[in-house]
Amino acid sequence: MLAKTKCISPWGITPVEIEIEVNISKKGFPGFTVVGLPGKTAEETKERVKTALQNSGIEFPEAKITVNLAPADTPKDGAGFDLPIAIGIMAAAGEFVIDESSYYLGELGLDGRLRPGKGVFLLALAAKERGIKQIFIPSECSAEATVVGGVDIYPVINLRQLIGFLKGKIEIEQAKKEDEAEGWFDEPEFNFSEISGQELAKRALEIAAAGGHNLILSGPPGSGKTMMARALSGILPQLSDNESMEVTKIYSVSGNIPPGASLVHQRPFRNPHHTTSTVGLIGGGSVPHPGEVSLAHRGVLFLDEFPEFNRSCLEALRQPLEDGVVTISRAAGTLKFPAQFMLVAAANPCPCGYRGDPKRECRCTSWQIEKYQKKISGPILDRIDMHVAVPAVDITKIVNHENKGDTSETVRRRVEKARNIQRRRFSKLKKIECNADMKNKEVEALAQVTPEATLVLKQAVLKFGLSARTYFRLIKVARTIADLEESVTVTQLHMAQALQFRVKSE
Amino acid sequence: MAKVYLENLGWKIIDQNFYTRWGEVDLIMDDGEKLVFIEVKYKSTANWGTPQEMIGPHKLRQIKLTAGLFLDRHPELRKKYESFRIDAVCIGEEIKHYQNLDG
Repeated sequence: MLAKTKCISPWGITPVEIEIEVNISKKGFPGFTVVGLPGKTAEETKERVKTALQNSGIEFPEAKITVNLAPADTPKDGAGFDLPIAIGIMAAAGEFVIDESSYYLGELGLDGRLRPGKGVFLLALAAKERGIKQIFIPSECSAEATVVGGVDIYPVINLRQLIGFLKGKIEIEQAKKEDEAEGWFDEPEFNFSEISGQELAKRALEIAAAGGHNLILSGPPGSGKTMMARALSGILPQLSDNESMEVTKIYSVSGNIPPGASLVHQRPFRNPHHTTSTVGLIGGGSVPHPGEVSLAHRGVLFLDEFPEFNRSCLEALRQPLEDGVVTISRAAGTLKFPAQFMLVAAANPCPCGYRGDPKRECRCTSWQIEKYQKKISGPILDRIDMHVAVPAVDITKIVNHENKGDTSETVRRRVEKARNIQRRRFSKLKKIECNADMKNKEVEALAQVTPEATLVLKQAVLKFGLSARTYFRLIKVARTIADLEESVTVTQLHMAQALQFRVKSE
Repeated sequence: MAKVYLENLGWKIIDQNFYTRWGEVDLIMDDGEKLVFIEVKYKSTANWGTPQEMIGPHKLRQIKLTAGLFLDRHPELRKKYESFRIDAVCIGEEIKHYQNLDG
């Protein structure tokens, strides 16, 4: 007997429909084989399915069982195939007849319980697109699917329940969209008002947050670089609906959505350790999975101790920084992960950390400093819009609780206002959400730079020998500064402010 | 028990418990056409798993290797039979006979 069930397997973040063919042959030596390029996890499904069926009161057919995951040449992995395989086996054994227009996804426990798994959101999206009638998913993930809607969603607790339903003995209540289905929200560790002094750096962070610009903070140890970068997540605006869908897709594929949560509303903040491998950062693997740059899509990628990262890792950032996508080529095909992130890097100026500090002497030799600074290549620095020096904090300011400044909430309101202006500007353009996303064409068409400001920029570019890329990036930063001040045009003043974050006074 | 079962089918015994350092073949019989190597598995109760579960790819490889060695030692049999086969007889609550494990 032959039975077919369907499931979705992500190829990058594109859903691929997998047809699971199960054949039970009474002739031949009993056994259980899975073919169709299953990964290790998908291969091990045999033991889980067999035990789960036995523990759900189903007699496992003593026959030769062959499972084919078609298309056979797409590599697939993950435990999500457990459920469709189990259902396929029972259907092939003649336990019940199944509706072809359904998707099944879920990892089985040995007791027949369905565990929450990856890719439920993607499955629901694909089901809606392809006009599938019903989907069966682990009950803990139902919130993820209900935000999509358009299909009948059956949350399944365990195999026994689903068997009863398919035999028509019991009913499973369909999952409905809940109004209070809100994304989870992490409280940021630090509030902006907790940062004493560092007005220039705080201003830079505000501009960066408002326009989505890349930023590097450099300063001696203990000056608060890390603290400021962490406080950044508190001033970032909420994700728009479009952005939220994009981010949720990536999170769903990588299994980063906690059970019970639905759409992601908070901007991602990723801070990988500096020992991260290139694959971990960029994404990859034989069945490619998204890396940190993609998990930081529409959010912040914070690289603390920037020069300590592996050189090849940093150089691999070049393409995503420029294009906003990561392209991964494998024998089985090429795929793209979105990676429109805001890079925030923190670095010391030299190995000992105190170069340029007024109070402590730098103990590094010039050779050491040169070697250290060479770790970050020119092309990478060229792609970073704002270079901010963070000097050591004046300790008396901390002791006296001086200079508290604005709280994160106040700053965020300003940032959101600036973002709204940008959204209106780019309302006709797809894929552009903030100033930093603009390509050169859009910069020329939409930035509205006054002739005086252009002159200032021209002089600066000639004097400091800045690159063409920097030229456009500077206009974008100036545009954001103008947006923060709700100015229609970019004036000399805005341009000069943008320049101070870029031009080093040697 | 398996031997009796197969002899009732009209098969002729050629050797039994053929043993080498790489493995063992329980029965070697002639089914009238082919030379058959037979693995016999016996389980008194199903509590510790079924006999079928005890025969995996590793066991199959052992039988194949041993069968090859058997044929090396008996070149006259290699000439006599045109083809060979591996079977299994599993004895649990009932006797089950599976033909041609390797194909």
